[in-house]
Amino acid sequence: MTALTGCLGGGGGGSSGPVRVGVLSPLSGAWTVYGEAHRRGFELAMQEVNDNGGINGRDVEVIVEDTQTDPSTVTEKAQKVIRQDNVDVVAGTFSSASRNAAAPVVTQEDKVLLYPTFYEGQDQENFPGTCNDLLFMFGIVPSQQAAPWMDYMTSEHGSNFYMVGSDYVWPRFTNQRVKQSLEELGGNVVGEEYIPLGTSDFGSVLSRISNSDADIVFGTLTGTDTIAFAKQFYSRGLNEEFTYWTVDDEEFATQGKGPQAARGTYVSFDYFQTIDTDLNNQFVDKVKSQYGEDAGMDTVGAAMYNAGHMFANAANEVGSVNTDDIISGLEGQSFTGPQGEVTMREQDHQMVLPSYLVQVPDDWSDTNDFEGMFEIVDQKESVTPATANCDFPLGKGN
Amino acid sequence: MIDFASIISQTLFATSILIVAALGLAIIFGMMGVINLAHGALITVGAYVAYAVTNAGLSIWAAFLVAPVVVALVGLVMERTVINRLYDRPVDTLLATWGFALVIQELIKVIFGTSAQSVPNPYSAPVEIMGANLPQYRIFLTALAAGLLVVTYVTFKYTDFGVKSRAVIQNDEMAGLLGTDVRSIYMWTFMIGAGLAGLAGAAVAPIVGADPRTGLGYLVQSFFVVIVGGTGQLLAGTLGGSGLIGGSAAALSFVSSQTFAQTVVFALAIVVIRLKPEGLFGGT
Amino acid sequence: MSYIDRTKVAFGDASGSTKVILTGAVIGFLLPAVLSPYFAFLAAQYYLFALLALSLGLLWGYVGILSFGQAAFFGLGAYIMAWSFQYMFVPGINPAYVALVLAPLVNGAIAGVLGLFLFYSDVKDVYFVIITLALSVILEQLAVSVTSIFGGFNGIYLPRMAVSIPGVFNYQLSNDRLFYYVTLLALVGGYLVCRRIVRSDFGETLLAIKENEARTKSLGYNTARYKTLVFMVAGALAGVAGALYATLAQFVSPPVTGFVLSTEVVIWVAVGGRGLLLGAITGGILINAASTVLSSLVADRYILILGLIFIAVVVAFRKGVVGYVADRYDWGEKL
Repeated sequence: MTALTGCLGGGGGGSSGPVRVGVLSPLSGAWTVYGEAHRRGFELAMQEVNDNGGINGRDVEVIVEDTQTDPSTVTEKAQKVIRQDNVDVVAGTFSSASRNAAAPVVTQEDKVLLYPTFYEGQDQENFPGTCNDLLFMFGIVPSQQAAPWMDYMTSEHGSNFYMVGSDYVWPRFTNQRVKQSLEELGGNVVGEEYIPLGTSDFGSVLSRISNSDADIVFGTLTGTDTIAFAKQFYSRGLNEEFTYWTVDDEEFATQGKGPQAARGTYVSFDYFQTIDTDLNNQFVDKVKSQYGEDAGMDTVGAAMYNAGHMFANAANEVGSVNTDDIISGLEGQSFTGPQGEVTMREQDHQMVLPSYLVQVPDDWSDTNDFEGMFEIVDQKESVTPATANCDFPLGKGN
Repeated sequence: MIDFASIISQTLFATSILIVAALGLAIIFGMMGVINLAHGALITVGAYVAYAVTNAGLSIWAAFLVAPVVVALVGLVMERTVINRLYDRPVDTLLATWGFALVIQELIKVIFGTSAQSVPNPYSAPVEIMGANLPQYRIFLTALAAGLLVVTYVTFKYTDFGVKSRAVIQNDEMAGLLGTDVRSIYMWTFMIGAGLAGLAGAAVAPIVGADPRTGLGYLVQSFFVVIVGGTGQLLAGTLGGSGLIGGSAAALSFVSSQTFAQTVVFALAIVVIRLKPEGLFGGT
Repeated sequence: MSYIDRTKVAFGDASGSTKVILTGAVIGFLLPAVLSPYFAFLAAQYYLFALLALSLGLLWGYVGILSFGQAAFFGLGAYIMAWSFQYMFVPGINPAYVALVLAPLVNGAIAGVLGLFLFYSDVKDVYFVIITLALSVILEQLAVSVTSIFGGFNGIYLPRMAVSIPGVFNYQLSNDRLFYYVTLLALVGGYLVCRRIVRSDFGETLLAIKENEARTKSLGYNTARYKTLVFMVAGALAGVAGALYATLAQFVSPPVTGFVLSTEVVIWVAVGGRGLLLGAITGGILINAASTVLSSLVADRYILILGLIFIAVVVAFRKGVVGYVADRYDWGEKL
């Protein structure tokens, strides 16, 4: 548990005493790899908010809970921070499965959830995990993450895709959308496999890929699995034959893969530590001075940072931290952060974000070098996401 | 199109990993009859020793020497403090070793943190054999498995220690009457089994990394290898058991998902145990 | 001895423990008055875990069968409840009721088949541990990989059950305090069933099997049949616990069937007192409650502490907490 400032006085929910935010982060288990940046992004933002006078004059207190891997733990921790710790708002969960687990709890207790992770987009059938008035999505979706780069990738490398993903909601729905974009360009999906989380041996999948006539291996594997897969991919010489494009392996996963296995891999996200703008360089410096020279940032950390500040700005604007007030405050809000100006769309609670296509260069050799890790191939300053596949206006399910 | 080369190489690799992983248990459980539920945790310790050694700048080969020694020492602690009181209480041995497994796993988390750690792979690049690109390291593991089998077999069959060890295990009262230091033999045999588990951990670390739960995956499989292969039959049992369990899982995973394949294999193993409780090569 | 005298003696034997049990039950019924809904929610979970522990306590304490697979039955019960809501097996009838009938039946049947397969052969008792361990691993793997049925890693969501009388009323138990009573009743009911079994002639035979199966067999008892029957009862109990758990937590996912939970149950029962029903129940409630408290204080280090306690219990304090208390106050062994 972390409390940024200890204010004596009762829990949040009232209008005095600190504003309490519950942060649900994967600090152990399969997604530990993303957990530190995830948590730090939010804590850093809240620290800055407190330094600037807090929210409506009240300090912000952050309560962090480790959601491990299983969705059932997420449910427990969500219950705990809301019902025992009386937080005013919940930030985080990492995977889509975790978000979907926390959603019924926040819906029942009427709390806003600030969700930072790159995800598969919204579909009404996944309510309350998506298309929920209480959820604000700060992460990038396939229409921003993959669609803008389909043209480039297919013309450079070929249009036969072999899709390999972990077996849960994010890879499945992401692949659905990517398939659509691919087929519009005349491409083909020559293989599509979903591997249960926790698999360590990818031998049979790799054989099938090897025997296929794929050009591009499109990866939605996650956590420790994506690292193991990449290493085995390399040890079978497959990265000579195929191009590997992943929409999951940000800085920390790539660090885990190491230079040999990661070389030449394409990655696309809305944020990379290597982005050389004044705003981002300032942000990265702040992170390093706070957490040490080796501290790194990734898309999820940046999104948590945005989420934290945008939440604080919204609360300050409307003058309260009541759920419905925060909802109206966040809708339509813009914020200038490490990525420049980003906006939370009112209609479907999705963000307008930049998009970058990067590649791991041959000369990257130091696993602690997060800046040399990626080379920007192309970028778009602002990509509007496709409209969410939801019933509008968004409801809370009652 | 059935890719025979892939199926054969995969089967071979899966079998050898299991041989390496299960050999230590074949000694402790197969020969000594100690139901060591900490076997997986011992493998995990081996993996972390490999991580610590390579992280300190030494080569992976140094880790291969250090890991078995460290884990043998862990085994020593286990044996001297608890296990030696429980040789005639099999259920309590089982429970106590499970307690150790938990403690070891948690200590690892305390010392090394909860996230998976990478261990460098000395043979990470692929090698071309007969037109197919094969991972070198797996070939190395196959050689290691063969080597370990030979060394262990020779040790227990022909060396002085080995002969005494088998005598004690077969009939410790008689062996004691004949002058053998029974307690000492049990202790050393247990340590060797633990050391082999540690070596297994170091051996698999370059491909699966070091994670608090690394060994857990090999626990149930190792038990099945020993039971199905036949307790008491070190060479044939371990080889046969690994071939059956590992090989069939590998072969099946070509037609279904890896997890489903493993499920089927476990179910089959249960049937085998039921029909031939002394194991395929067992029965003395 | 006359019937009255015999009753007096029996009452005299049990009075110390009966007092404790009755006091515990009364406290249990009164707790929601002082607990917040959230803590009632947590306590309800503990009671269901205690019921799961009870299933193992019956099996292990009174027949000597150590099963590392009770979580598989618990999990299966949970999934059955989830499926009941998803697929409405019997339209028109409260899906929770359907599940609460199906879960024990299906689990009992599966336990029966397994018992027939395993107990009627020469499979050594200690192998049974490995086999049941593998069963929970198998079920967890199936739950993870057969996504179309089990929902895979994402899990299945389900609502809180309702109590209903068709045509008369239908009241959803969203109130955690109310659901607390449901779980308390389930636990008390399960305990009474087990106690009845244990104190009967059937129970005497079970204890004889635990003590020396070979001798009991030679006296003409079909020990395999007794073992199978108890295994079925244990499976059914665990199934009911799981079904209620699913609708309490409103979410089911693979870990509810798996390896980790299975081994945890053994720890609860060993520490609580493996020879006694009350020991199992106490272990289930105590350790889970302690885990919740400790995890707020020392994060996950409590597992380390638990592991050390467990080793100590196994080596030296074999009777567990309740076992020692029962010895001290001479409560007998049919608790």
